[in-house]
Amino acid sequence: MKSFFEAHIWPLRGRLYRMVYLWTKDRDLSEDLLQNVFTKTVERQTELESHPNLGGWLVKSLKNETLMHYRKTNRLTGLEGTEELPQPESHGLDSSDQERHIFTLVDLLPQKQKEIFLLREVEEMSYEEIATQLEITLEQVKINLHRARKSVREKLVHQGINR
Amino acid sequence: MKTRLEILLEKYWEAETSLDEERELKSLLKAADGYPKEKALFGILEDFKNEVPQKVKLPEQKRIRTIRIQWLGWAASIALLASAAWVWQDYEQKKQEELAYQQVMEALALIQTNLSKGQEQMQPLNDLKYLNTTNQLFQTTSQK
Repeated sequence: MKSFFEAHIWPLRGRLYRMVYLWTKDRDLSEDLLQNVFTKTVERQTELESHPNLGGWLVKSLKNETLMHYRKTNRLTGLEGTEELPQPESHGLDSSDQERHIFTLVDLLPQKQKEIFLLREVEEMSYEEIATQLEITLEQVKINLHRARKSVREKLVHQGINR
Repeated sequence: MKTRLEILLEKYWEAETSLDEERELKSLLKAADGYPKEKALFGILEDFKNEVPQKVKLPEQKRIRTIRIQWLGWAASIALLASAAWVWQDYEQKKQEELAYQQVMEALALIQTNLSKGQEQMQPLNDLKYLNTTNQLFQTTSQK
């Protein structure tokens, strides 16, 4: 039989990982942070089994974990500052270009818009799901997504992007 | 006349598309000629979806803990069964012992009753010793 973790949290790993990756722009760090959160999740399993918003809890924990990491390394005081982080160093020939594009695309967006944009465009979640996961109102999701798409469109029209 | 793709794109930029429409838009765009910018955008997003964690593992600790709890449950039920069986067996044994004791006692009682019956019947024999005593008492027989 699948455990609670395997059934409800493990399938979310890709989505959670991409979210941290978007914040940190560092693959290894993202995986470490996600692993830490998973360990904590396991420790608090019984409590989480009855949690009304598991996805939201996970996102919040990941955010805290990331902030803690940055606080320890004294680099940032909030995730709002991730735009200033350097773009990832190229690890290999094909992966580096690919990952840079997404950051070029969304780096101009404020943090909230970036997250909503990611959840909608990449994870293909409904407005309701996004609102629950980020613990914001439906209205905020719609407004922020509209603004995010507007900015992306402007970028597309004026600067253009390359895949 | 606008094509379906153009209508969907416009709706998309206004953030008025549903998820289904966005999916339709993506597949229409893939099949269409032109639209290099839009294709690049959705291409990047699709590429990013392929970003998956490589090293993240299922945390071990929990698995051990569940097994432990499972074992604990098993152990508890086995212990319960074993003690129940032992108590039952003990009770059965005691019952049998009591039964055997009663049977022995009954047998002994039977022996005793019969023995006393026999003894009673032996009473006349006991009286036989007085048969000759009258003469002795009154010394009616001549003492020679």
